[in-house]
Amino acid sequence: MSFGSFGLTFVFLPLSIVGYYGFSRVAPKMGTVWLISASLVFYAFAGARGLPYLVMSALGNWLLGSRIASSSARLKHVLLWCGLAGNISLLLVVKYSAFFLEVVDLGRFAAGGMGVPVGISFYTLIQVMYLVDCFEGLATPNSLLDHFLFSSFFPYITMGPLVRARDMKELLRRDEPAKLDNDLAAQGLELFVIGLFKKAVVAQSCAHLADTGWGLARNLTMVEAWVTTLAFTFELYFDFSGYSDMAVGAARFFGVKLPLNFDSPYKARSVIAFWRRWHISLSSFITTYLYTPFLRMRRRPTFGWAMASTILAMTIAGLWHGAAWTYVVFGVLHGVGLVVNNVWRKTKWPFPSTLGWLLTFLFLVCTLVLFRASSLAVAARMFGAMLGRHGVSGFDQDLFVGGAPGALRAAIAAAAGLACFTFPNADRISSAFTPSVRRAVGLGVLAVVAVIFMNSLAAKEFIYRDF
Amino acid sequence: MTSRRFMVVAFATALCCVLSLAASSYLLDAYGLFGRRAHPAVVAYRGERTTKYLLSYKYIPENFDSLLVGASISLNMDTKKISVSRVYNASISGANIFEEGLIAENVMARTKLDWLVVCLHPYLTMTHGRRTEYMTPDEYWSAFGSIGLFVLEASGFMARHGLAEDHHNEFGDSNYREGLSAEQAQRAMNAYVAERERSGVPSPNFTLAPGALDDLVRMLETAKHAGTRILLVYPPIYKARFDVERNDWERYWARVRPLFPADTLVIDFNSSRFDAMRSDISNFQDSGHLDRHCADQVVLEIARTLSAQPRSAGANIGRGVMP
Repeated sequence: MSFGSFGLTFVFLPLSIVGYYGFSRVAPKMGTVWLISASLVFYAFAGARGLPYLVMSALGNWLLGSRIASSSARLKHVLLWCGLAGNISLLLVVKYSAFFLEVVDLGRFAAGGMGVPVGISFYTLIQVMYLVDCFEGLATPNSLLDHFLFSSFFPYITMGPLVRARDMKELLRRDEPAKLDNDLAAQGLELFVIGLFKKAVVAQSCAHLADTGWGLARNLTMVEAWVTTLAFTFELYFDFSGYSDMAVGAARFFGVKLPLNFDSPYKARSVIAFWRRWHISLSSFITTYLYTPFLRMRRRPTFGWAMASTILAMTIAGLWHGAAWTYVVFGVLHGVGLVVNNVWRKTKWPFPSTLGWLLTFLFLVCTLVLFRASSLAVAARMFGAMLGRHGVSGFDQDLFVGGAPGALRAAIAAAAGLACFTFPNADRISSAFTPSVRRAVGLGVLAVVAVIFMNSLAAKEFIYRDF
Repeated sequence: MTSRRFMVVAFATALCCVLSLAASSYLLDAYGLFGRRAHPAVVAYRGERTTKYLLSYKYIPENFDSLLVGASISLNMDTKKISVSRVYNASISGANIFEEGLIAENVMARTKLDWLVVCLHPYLTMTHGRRTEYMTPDEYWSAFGSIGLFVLEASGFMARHGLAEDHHNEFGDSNYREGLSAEQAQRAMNAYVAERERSGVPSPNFTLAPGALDDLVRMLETAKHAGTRILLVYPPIYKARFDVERNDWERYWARVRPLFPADTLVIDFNSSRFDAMRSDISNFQDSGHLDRHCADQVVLEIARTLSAQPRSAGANIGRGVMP
């Protein structure tokens, strides 16, 4: 049961909403308990073996947060550093130990079989932000119940967006019955349906093309390689932004406004602009908790130091996505991209914006090859194919497109590509929300189309679920 | 308009659309699942895996008393020409034994089949498990409204009105590759044989996927428990190709044949009795697939073999509702 499934859309979400407001009417704390239970059930469906880690992380950070807020300045520092070290160690041990052991040629000592707990990369960062906020006095420590809800709230627990305690203020410290905010719920419904459509219709259609190309044992021609990589570029955006829209939409049913995560990233005209528009909650985390501390390590940071910090922060951000060299190289390349972009800005030489967009988009398509490839060798093979190493023309239409359903999916993928550059994003649509019959009917039809596609194709897991 | 009314209208629109879609799908009953149609939209297969899988729930059990399973090599065997038994051709292009087993087991769970005809080609056991996202029990629900259903209905409409050609008949036969010339077949065959002679290693087709033989055994055991008799068919392989690969074929059959029950009937089209058939390239479409004329000869031989056997008691005879 994940976002975009029948189970979540038609059973779990409605039950959670009804139960939350129903129990909250009896006693506000009962609403909280209901929501925690629902979130833990949701998490257990995603990966029950990760539950102990989630509970341990929530409990440990709640204790630390409470202590940090009530301790002396000196002890605060010690506790904060302990907390940060604990969270990062948990992540390193659970997610990266096998990778680092491989690097030092000790892979035989890696414990296999357990797998990485779902969402650990996300909820660990959320806990880090909570501790820092408690340390800086930006957040009041949560009660145990509230902290469990904050740590496990199902819309963001598996794939973000990364939230801070203050984003959840409507849900936490509630001592009066929750009341459904119809305006927010209507916006949430719209966002949820848009996200569902993005995932079930668009991302799945793009995935068909991308997976066909990536799954082929033979070498691809240049045309096939570009179709494959472009399809993946669009799949990734619609898959993750579709999830984010659903998560943000679902949270609004509970009165919570989660932060914006995407702002038409493929319209970006520079790498700097791209990272301001792509996975915004992570970008913001990288800037605040990685780049800025690196920068502050020097009393008077130079431009060179700032650029070195950028590359370092982006490398860590790349590695955050997964324990593989492909992600490390992805992070380094984006760091270098940001540096080149900053250097060019410093020169103040003019640059045509259309060319800027084209170069940025090409850079993204190429670097996302690393994001999708299972190894650097596989990525190199794809780069070779993109450069025409195995022939330029030639496109196996039967394989990539196939019959009528395949043609429909290919047409949707192509239209989605255009929509990325021209349409306003879900958040813009939602912020201009004014209820009207036309809009409601349109939304209903959009939901039906999404449901038909959900009923037509076996659902593919979200790409970011593995991170 | 208030936000509350907005939500009500959106929900009502979605609900109306979904209900009318499900109702019309139910009434049209393209896969013959709901007993609304004696003769489902079998005249226009699109998405062969989905269609044949869903037909195995009701249409095949209610209209046929025997089943032919195989990959694309038996896809154009027109079992309608077998008069002694109503044999549904469940062959699917690119299928493996797991997928064919899904259909066979579905049918056998719902009716007593007289014969299970297995057209055994190594391609069937080269892979294991579902080769696509299709043929899952969840797919049953796609009959209430899905892209595959709409394409099938549209294709059926076009076929009925002469706007498109239909490659299938109601017995599951497909003539999808007809029209290739003997010269094309000879070229393909020569290239294949030359490649085999050059490489000196068996074709990847002969690789046995782990688990594939278990799939085969499971299907055969289901048939045995159901009292369904088994006819094993070794399809004709072009003689020049067979001679190059003789050891591989014999090794493969020696490995697989013991898995079949001892009382299995066998027709070996690669025996000397069929040399004339196998030596004529015009009987083939390419390096493996049979020409329609050759497929008809194979079907006639199957019919002859079946008619020489007594009808089994209790088989699904005369229960057909198909016109």
